[in-house]
Amino acid sequence: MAINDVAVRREVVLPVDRETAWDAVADPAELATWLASEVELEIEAGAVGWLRWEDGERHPAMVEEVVDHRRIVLRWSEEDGPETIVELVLDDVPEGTRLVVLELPVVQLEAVGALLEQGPRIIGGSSPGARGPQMVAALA
Amino acid sequence: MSATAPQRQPAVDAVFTALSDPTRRRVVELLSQRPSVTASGLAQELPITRQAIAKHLTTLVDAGLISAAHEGRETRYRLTPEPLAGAMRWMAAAGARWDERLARLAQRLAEQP
Repeated sequence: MAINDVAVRREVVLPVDRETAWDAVADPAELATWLASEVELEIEAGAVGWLRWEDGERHPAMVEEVVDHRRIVLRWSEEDGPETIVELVLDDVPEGTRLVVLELPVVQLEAVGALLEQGPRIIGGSSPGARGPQMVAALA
Repeated sequence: MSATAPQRQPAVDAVFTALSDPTRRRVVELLSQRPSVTASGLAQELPITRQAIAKHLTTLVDAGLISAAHEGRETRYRLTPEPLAGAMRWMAAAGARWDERLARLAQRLAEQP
């Protein structure tokens, strides 16, 4: 049983180039068309804001990390769930752009981080050329 | 604009913390296959010390995933899987939410000229 058995992982191949896919995940107005019903959050490292989900409530969210045209790491909690870290990673594939999403409870990441003696944040330090989700790599 | 820290959910958090360790997951797995175990019994099956096993058992008891009952001179541990259901429910709900979101995103981008 791998650690990411207790994480949610999804991927989808989008029929567009990475530039277009990036706009869809990094522009708050675009995010409001598919991620949440309302998005008040600039996609810049350290930004703090909120998202409105289907339950109608505003939920605080923050941007942990941004690698331009490649990767976004958010932290949020929604409805009755735990506080989670959400990583979105874009990669070029022949059919367009692959988007990989990983959502993982923060406590779990902190526990693994302590285990690895890297502190609670183990998802920093990626390079713009990095391929694939850093959390998946760190937890594999 | 102000934002407060997201609210924590202690029960689900404790379960995820408990399950973040491979030894504790192994203990839960072993307990799902038999009615109960003792710390000494586990020490014979797992490659760690009895003291380490005792710590893991305490974490699992605190998360509500197992219960401890004194029977004579020994303590027997049993699986109490209800909190696991909460964690599994979160995973299923979060997965379903992403399925919906990514379907909306793919559809939106497919419709673009």
